[in-house]
Amino acid sequence: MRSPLRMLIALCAAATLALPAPAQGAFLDDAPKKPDGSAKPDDKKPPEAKPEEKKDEKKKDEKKKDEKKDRWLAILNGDVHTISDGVLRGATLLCKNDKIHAIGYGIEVPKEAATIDAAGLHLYPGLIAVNSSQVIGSEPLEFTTDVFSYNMTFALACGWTTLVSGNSAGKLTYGTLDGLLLRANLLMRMSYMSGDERRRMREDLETAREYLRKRKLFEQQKATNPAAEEPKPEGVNQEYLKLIGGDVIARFDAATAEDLRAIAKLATEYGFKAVIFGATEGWIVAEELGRAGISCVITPNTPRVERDARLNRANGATIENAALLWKGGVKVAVIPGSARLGNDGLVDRDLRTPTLEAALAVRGGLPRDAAEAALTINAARVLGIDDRVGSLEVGKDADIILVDGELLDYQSFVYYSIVNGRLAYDKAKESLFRDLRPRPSTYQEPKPPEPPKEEPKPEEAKKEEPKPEEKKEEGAKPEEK
Amino acid sequence: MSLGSPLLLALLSPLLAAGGEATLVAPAAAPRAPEPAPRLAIVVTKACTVSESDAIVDNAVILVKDGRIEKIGRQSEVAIPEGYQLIDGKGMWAVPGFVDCHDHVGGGLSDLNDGVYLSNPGLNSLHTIDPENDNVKNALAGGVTTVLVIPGSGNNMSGFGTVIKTWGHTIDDVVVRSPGSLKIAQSGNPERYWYGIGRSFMNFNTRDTLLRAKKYHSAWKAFEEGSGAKPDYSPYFHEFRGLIDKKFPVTVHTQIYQVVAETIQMLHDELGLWAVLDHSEFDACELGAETSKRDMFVIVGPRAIHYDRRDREIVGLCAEWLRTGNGKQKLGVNTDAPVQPQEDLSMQATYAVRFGLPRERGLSALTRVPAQALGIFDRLGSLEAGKDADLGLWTGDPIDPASSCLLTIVNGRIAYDSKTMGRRY
Amino acid sequence: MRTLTRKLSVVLLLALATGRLPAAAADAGDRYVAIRCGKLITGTGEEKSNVTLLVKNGKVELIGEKVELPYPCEVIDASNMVVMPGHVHAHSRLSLLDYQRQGMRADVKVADEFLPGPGAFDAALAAGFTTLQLVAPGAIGIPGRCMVVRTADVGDGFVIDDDGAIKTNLVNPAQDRRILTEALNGAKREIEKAEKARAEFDAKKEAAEEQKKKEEEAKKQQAQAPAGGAPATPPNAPPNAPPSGPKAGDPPKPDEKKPEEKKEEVFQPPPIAPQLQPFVDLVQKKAGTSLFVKLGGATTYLHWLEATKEFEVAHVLYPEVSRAFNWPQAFSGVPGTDLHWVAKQFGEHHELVVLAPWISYIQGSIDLVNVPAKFAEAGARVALTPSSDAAEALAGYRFQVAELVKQGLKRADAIAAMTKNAAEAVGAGAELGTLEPGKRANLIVLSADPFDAQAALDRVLIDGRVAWTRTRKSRS
Repeated sequence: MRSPLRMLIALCAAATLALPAPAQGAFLDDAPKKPDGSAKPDDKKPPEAKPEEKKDEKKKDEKKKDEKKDRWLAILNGDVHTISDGVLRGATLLCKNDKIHAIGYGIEVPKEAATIDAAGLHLYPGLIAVNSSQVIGSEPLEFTTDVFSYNMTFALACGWTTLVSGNSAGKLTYGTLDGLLLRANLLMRMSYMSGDERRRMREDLETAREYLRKRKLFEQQKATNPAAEEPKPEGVNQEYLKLIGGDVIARFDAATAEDLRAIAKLATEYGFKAVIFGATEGWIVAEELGRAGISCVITPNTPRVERDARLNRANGATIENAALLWKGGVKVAVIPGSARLGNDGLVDRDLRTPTLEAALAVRGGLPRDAAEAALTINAARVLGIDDRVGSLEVGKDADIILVDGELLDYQSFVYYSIVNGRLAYDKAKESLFRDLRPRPSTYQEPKPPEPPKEEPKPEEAKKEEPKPEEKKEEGAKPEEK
Repeated sequence: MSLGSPLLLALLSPLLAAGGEATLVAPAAAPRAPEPAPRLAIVVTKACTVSESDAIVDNAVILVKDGRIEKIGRQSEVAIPEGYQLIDGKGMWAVPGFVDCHDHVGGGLSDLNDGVYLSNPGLNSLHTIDPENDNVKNALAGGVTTVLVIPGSGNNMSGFGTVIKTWGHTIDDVVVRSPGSLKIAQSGNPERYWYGIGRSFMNFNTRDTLLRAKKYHSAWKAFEEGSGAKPDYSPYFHEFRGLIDKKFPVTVHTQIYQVVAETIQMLHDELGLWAVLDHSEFDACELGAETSKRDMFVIVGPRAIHYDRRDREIVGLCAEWLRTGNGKQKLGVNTDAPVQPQEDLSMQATYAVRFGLPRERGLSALTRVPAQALGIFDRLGSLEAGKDADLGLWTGDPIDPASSCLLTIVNGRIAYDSKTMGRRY
Repeated sequence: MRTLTRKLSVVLLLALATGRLPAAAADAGDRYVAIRCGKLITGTGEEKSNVTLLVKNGKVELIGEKVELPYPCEVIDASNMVVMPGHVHAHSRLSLLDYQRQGMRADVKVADEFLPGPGAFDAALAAGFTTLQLVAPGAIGIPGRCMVVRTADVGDGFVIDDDGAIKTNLVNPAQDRRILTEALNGAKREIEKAEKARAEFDAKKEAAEEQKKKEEEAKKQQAQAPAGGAPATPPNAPPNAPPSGPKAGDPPKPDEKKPEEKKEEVFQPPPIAPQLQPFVDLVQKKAGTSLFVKLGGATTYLHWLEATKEFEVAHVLYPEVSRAFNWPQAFSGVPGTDLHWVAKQFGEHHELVVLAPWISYIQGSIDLVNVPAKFAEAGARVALTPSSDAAEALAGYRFQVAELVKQGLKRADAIAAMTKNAAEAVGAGAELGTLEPGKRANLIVLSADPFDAQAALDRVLIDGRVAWTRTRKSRS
């Protein structure tokens, strides 16, 4: 196990290194020169924009100045669940533009930063849905997503900040198109079910591997042996070259132990990265999947598949699937059974209840931290976007949710959702869940930078009421009536 | 499916019909087990009795004898006598077996709805019960021990329901009471029975049937009191005698403000029946003042939340019923299995509590309140001495979806043990 | 133009001071109409009581309390009535053929298909509309150019502008934004191409001149041996000289002077595709070229900002706004009801936005939102226009605007939205929309205040001529 204390020290050290407590006022000038995240204004340039274009200089200059001005958001006094590195209680998380700039204690907050006093709240990375429908647009997401839609607010209120639609990952950038598309062409969809499919795929993979082998040989001999023959790429599946090269992740949809085992074998043989969606009988072959380095996307409470007694072996679905896969060393991501966002009131397992879904994995024996990871970092890993999202780390995207309890507590609500360093959802200001466990908003707009004398007073916002009472009451409840 | 049940049914049906004159309601069948129930001493960290006082006993021991709870108390106060099999539930919670007022899977789904006429008095779900069907068996893994099996809502009156336990091998083993209730569906689904069926006709039809049943009952009553001739026996109306005598309730498929208001007015006020509201969804939750004033039971589900367009917000139905009922509304939850799996009854309470119902009311909505609504609270629905030993051992708060039920006891016998039978939920 | 305005204001001042016309006013052949207004809503923000509005040759000559009328002069007595500028319908299809063009068709002009049947605009005229913008049909991409017409032919025909705004859809960004971006970039490329050709032309000419100079020098050096050789190179030969480096990449200057001044050699810019020509004009900010952009909702406005980030294009926005007429869907989008979310941005960009006079629901609720009021408050210029060409939409126009006023739209904003801004929205702000000296006398006479539910339309004047009265049929 990691030692939280050690990490805490490390983080504090990192924070102080990054921000050597500059004199007041000097901070701003210093900050942009620091080797921080890669948030650059050019991130926001639309594809058609040509940098050399210089129309109407005056206006452009103004615009540029605006763009250069950094956007700061400081979340103070919250319990930061980094997912990657333990929990920092009552810490500060500082976002600069769309990235996390610093996490730790005693961090200098720029005067003009927007602030949220998160005392009594828990910070988690925004949740990632590996599949969704009708919440964000269809591909191309950046042109079809309605960033003012109620579904977007609803999804943010449920804790999601990144959703997959089709084969692209999009962010719930409420009210702005900036940074909406996270990545397209995420996974390479493959099917390895029928005998014919299997034969063909193996043949193609073999050809690709053979080509790579020859290619490598050629590269080695080229210098010394002028007669070395360059292998021809004709007839080689280019996608498979990428797959074997580890540049793409394969996605399989499979359920039965037999299929899962076959995929594990294939992935081991050709050494590629794979994720399996479904994996209902994964618990039976968990160790094989784990050894093959395969990740699984599962729904903990899969609609019951009755064990078929005629199959003279283990089969069927179980609530323990997530836990057993995890024990087998498989990275587990969790997705609710339905990819939509239901509003009909049924106690459905859909995008409305990510945390209840993960709690069901805990019911089946998955440790809580693994269940939290299943909605965050592991979901990011299976999609290959863990360099950007999935945990709270300096340099990663500032996609954060603030919850009034532990993430998997069934009574917890999301109070703020931050996407790309912008406040995208504020429960107190949005009618959707406003009256449930209400709490006044502590979000403060960024202050104008002009008055230099005024001290930033993030501490003053800390008129926090006592921590919410423990939910699980022990004693008998006083009679009503 | 046990071979015994159809045979038994064949025997039972005429018996019930003929003997109906004497016994309006079949008496609770004593568990007829091949060997006597074991004596159990169940030791748990926390026992939620869900009695009227919602008492919680920490470090509790529950003694079980002859299928009933013999004693419940703190370990320091209750000594475990000789000959009791110890069930060690350290770290676990003991919770009464859950009661679902709205279940369609007791017959394995084969006889959900005999939609012959718009109104089918006389049909009885008892004849469809399959005690060993998988849906019911799985209920045990969710801590559900008692369900009211009712016919579907494809027509206004689809027959009588049956209260059964979720564990047993024969009909006698499982039936708690038959009839358990009369099922009436007031609106919504029955409108699809035939083109042109609207609420006016449906209400006329339901009222007409019930008035005829009342007339039949008064004729028999007059005869029994010696002031009238013996009426002809009618298979259509005989079961209604228990309903009119308030021996069992009418469970009403009713939802939406207007329809629930109709239910209250017609079935409760006008016809004077013991009416339990089932579903109770959508904007019906604003009728809490009316139902709580009349001390009616409201069972909510399978919808748990409602999107209120006026305020553009999502409200928990249970919380809203409680609010409009001035904090006094008695609330239960149901699954409408198979709409939600029978073992997921606790998830209905999870939603209710997540969306604003106080937690202890969430627990009573699974146990005490539905038992009271069906009039079986004298036997079930709480952990109290003298009651049926129906309980679940949970790893924690049963309303938390992260907790699981690892052991279920029905009638003092271990009906589900995850250790020996494998985890089912 | 400016001097004209100044002159006119001098005249006006004089007139206001003396109540008389300059002596030379009553030239023979001038046509005068005087309207005695009980109340005059000028559209400039002023409302005057008991004034006379004098029209000379179809244009407003002056407005004053005591005006000495020239002779001859037609007098309209509206001293117990209200006079205001005629309504402008910025999104009409009356009389247009329903060719649903799509893609990039900026070369299409609806004016080329304009052939109104008898009484085509009568419903509009009878509702008080004097000006219509006929918008090119087509829901995808850029279906064509709009035109602006009068609702009655009072002598000069119907057409005011046959080369109107370019209708541009930005409803489904997945296809529309691509088309728009391609059009703008295409125009940019054309301009760059012309610049480059121009640079090459100049370089070549310079070289030729150099050559000429050298030759002359040589000639001089060759003593006084006379020769009549014409050394000039043919002007239009395709230039073959290498592009002069620094100039080629330069962005085009919109205020670039035409190269025509050159003496003999005339620069011939390379031909531009007819579809792109309007966009080249647009990017070069040629007067009278603008976009009439139909937006789908709040998000599409963000797409608009992104798509035109690098360009400054004259435009009017026409967001689709649905009406609060039935039970709102919980979560599915109703077009335009989410516009209030971007009201702030509309204000920041000081957008000129054409809206239907409707109250909307906030998405997923039964809360009403007055989108025009929100926009006006935020600082956008709002023009209100009927929601369709249906007779009831036209006839109910003032009533619907009154409803918006009742629900929070400021009266002044509502008047501006019906007059000045509406005229600007169809690109006719210089001539129409307000009643002040120099503007066309397009006006309506109402029996009461326009927001009074009982106000009846009494007559309509177009270019100072009565086009419709309550008792007489239209003259079109």
